[in-house]
Amino acid sequence: MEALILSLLFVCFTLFVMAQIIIFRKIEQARVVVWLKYIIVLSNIGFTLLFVLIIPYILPRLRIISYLISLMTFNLFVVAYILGVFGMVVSSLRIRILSEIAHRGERGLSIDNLLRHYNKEAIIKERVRRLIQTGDIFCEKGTYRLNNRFSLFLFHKIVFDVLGTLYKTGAGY
Amino acid sequence: MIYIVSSVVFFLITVSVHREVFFLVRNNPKSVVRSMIVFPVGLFIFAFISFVVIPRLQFNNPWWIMPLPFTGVILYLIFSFLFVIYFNGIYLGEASPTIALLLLLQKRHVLREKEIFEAFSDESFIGSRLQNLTDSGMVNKKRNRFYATLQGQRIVSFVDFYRNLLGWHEGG
Repeated sequence: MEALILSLLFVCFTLFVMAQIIIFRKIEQARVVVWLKYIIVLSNIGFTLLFVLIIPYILPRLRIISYLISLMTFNLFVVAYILGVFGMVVSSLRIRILSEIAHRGERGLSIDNLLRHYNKEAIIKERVRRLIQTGDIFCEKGTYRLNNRFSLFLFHKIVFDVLGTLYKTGAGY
Repeated sequence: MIYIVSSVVFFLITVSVHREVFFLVRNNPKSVVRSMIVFPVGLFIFAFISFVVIPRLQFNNPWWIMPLPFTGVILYLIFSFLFVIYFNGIYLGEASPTIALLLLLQKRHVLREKEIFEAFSDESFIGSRLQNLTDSGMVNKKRNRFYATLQGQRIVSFVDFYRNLLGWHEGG
């Protein structure tokens, strides 16, 4: 039975990645996080339907437990992909700086040239745009404010804080 | 179920071991990177536990002994991968601009665009990361100009390939 569950997991994950790539080709970059949430919800629904159809009938309690374990594993796969691959490509400052330098080839890049078109203004404007799209902040009469809700981005801060305490380093905030 | 619980417990044990190793080598960045070897070693040990030790245990309750050894190992791998990503963030001390922006708004409640720009510096976003790229060997600096090393170029090749799949030109 584990082979069947793992096969289902890999198939659903592959479909998730393919759906993400196909959809993201058609949307603007600022709406990435919003659409990512939709795709994750839809892929969880798809996973559930496939699980019910494909995994053979076993004792009800075992079926529920195996469903919950495989759903948890699937979502952890998705989270690992988003943070490790997608996040790196879409929003990592370090990767962007590295790309700017690598694309200059043998000419190299000075810090002044880099800051001319990739600087704190460009970085902040992009983040503000994304946060408005996700509904975490809003703009009113030229001022920005937080929306009254918990932001998923702040979940990362909690993890950083826990690790920072454990390893006695600062998390940089 | 025992495979899942063992996976979580063993991962936490591995993190504890890594933490002790980290305190011994924290002043040497290359040794800190090498300390990550704890996780692949932990993977081999856990795989042995999953495929050899646990099947020999006797349990009466069928849901506790549901045979999921591969799932347990996969979970350990995912936890380790996620840990490395977050650990990288705290070790390098680089604040995420998004989180920093949200915390600033949490503290000050209302901000104009100009006030947001004034709260941050190019050094905190760009300078520190450039230094880290140089220290980690992704980039070389010669006479005030930066050049990507072979390692850096390989990473950018993968990133460009993925961005082309998405039809995007740049990230960050």
